[in-house]
Amino acid sequence: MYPHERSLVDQYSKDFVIIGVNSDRSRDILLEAMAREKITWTSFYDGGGTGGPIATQWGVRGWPTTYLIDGSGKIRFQNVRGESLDSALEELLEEIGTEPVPVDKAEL
Amino acid sequence: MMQVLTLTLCVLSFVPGSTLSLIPQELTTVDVVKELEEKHDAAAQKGNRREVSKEYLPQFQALATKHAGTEVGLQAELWVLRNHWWKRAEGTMESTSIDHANRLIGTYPNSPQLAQIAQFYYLFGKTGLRPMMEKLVESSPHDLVDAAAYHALASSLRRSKETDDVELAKKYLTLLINEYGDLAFRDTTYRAIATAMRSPHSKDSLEVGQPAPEITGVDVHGTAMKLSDFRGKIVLLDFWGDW
Repeated sequence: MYPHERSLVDQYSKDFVIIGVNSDRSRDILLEAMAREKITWTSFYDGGGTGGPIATQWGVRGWPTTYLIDGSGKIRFQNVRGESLDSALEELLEEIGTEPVPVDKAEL
Repeated sequence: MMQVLTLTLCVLSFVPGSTLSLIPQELTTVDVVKELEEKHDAAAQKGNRREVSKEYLPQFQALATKHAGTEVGLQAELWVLRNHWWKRAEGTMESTSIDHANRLIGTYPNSPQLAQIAQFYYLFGKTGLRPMMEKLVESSPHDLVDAAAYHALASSLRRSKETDDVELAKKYLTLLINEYGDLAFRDTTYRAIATAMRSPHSKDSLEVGQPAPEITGVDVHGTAMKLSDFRGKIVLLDFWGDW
């Protein structure tokens, strides 16, 4: 999942960001994962476990759980990944007049 | 005379029939438990976790008995407690855990590490949990243990179908916020976690088409950030962990 997300962030950095909510057991584990997976985007550190305040308030019981939120702050898609993330993102980009660039699958 | 005495000591030290008895007591540190635990974890990764835990159990129990009342004994006992889960399949998890936790509280009433009894609250089952947590609060002089017990009660009761249970959970959460709010819960506080538990977002408010609820928190370096800081951009909000 990371390489795909990374390429989307690179491609659409002007209009699109990934914000993580991380439930790892420690900051060290999170930092190590970010370095290993070359994760450039930022994450909320949710208190060192799956029972953290953010995941608790959002009722998250399974990981990963994702929400795609538009520029006005509205939830537009839930749990889209892979190709369905691509098409959801394309739809939102078109709404704001950004021409989606076809992602070169060979690069992934 | 000296020779006789030395000889006697040597013989005595062999009597228990264990190689451990040759090591003076004060050299036995919690490292013994840690090493055994690491050995167990390595074996469990390769094999059937339940079978491996079963196999190692007597060794931890022996350490707990031999070093009862010391830090080594406590660590061994806590390992045993954490590893009652596999008895669920045999139908003895709850009774074993309750007996064991009672013994732990009796032997180590002043240890702040008894908070682990609360952290593994699922071991005690629906009916066993409340008396166990009440006993823990009553016996422990530590606020951290009390807070862990109330957190366990609230975690268990807030998902109940009975409205009385849900109300009780809310009472415990209010107590956590008012009395124990500043105490650490992992890398956050009991105030933060109890506040989140008391006011979860409704399913409806997280549906497609709804405004995403605000998130305020910190990044890995402790820098404050808000979800609304990214308004104007399309955001993929990704709940994730490296496991």
